[in-house]
Amino acid sequence: MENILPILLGTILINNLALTKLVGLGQLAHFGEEEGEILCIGVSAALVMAISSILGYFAGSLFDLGVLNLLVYVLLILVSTALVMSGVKKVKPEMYERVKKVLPLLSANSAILYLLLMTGTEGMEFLLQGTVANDAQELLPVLVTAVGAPMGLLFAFILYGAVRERLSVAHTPKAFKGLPILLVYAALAVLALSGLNGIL
Amino acid sequence: MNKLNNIKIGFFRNNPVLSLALGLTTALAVTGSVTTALGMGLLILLLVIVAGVLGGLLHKVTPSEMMIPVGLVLSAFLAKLGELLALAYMPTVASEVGIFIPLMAVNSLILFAAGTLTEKTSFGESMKNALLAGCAYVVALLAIAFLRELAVTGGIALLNPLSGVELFSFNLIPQQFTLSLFAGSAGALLMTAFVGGLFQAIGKSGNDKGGK
Repeated sequence: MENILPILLGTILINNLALTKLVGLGQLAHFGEEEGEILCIGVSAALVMAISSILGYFAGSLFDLGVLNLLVYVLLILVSTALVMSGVKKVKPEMYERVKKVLPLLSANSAILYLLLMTGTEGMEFLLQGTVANDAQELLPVLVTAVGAPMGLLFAFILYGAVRERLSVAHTPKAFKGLPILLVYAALAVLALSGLNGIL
Repeated sequence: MNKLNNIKIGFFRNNPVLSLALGLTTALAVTGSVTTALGMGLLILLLVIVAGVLGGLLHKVTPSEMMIPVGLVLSAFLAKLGELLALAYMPTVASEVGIFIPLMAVNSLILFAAGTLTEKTSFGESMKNALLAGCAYVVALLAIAFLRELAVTGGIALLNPLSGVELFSFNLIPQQFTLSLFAGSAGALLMTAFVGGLFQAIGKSGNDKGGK
């Protein structure tokens, strides 16, 4: 029980998948033009991640997936993406028109698959860096991670969206225009977040 | 990602990883040493070629709105294939890269090669693009890995990724002047940014002189 707060804090900030493990960076660098779109895409990505990681936990614990684990995980992600897409279509039809080209690509977000693979193969220990090990396969940590990690992803989406907005009007050296300057920014973000290491 | 449609992939201008962010996750993870970069680069090149062929075949029978799901399943299959191949033939590289080999299932370079990120084109055209992107990807990986390993260890020790036998090694920078920053994830990002800037600068200056 006392592990809930560390997992939550850890997944949102300290072990934020997109900002410290550098998964899903490619999508952060491209998706969304303005704030509303970025928020919509970020929330959808977080929902896809939450749904797929819970589904993945049950699939992994009910069946012995073996060599087929990747295929099963990818299919689960596709199903959750389709679910979230239909949800967005129902709740915000006018926003759906603007983001419908991008939303299917969320199923190719590596942060989502990374979470599934890690929980599937190593349980939750990777998020706590060895502080607990015995209850790693229980449901509660999985549920907490399924809330925390998507929030971290949403955080990363918003952060990168804001940075891209500011970079578009900044005077960047010619050679660094586009992706390189964003990577420099990402490196600084990693350094900043690494200052939080060890508070758990 | 819609802007990928009419883009000319090149080694310096529009390098797939350094300016289009295709397969960036894998690139950041495997460039810790030249050996892993070489091994994984060749593996990805192989998978890109297979993905190009299979994706081209699937294109004919798949409606365009279903291309992303189909492409993802295809690349998951290829990533599993790659993982098993890596575990069998280059175990040292596989254990070093770890989780990032199965993560190739969502590597956008493979998806790009399978034709899921672009509009329908002819088979030859997409195959050419895929091959070009794959080669440019390997070159970028090697450049990043070379500089990172040089900065971290002060020299290069290239092993044969298949057998683990040392091919050559040299030492350039004395031990007390090495930068361990570049071993971590922040260093990976910084070095990728620097190499990206370098490549773009080379590409731009070539353009100004009326070259490619």
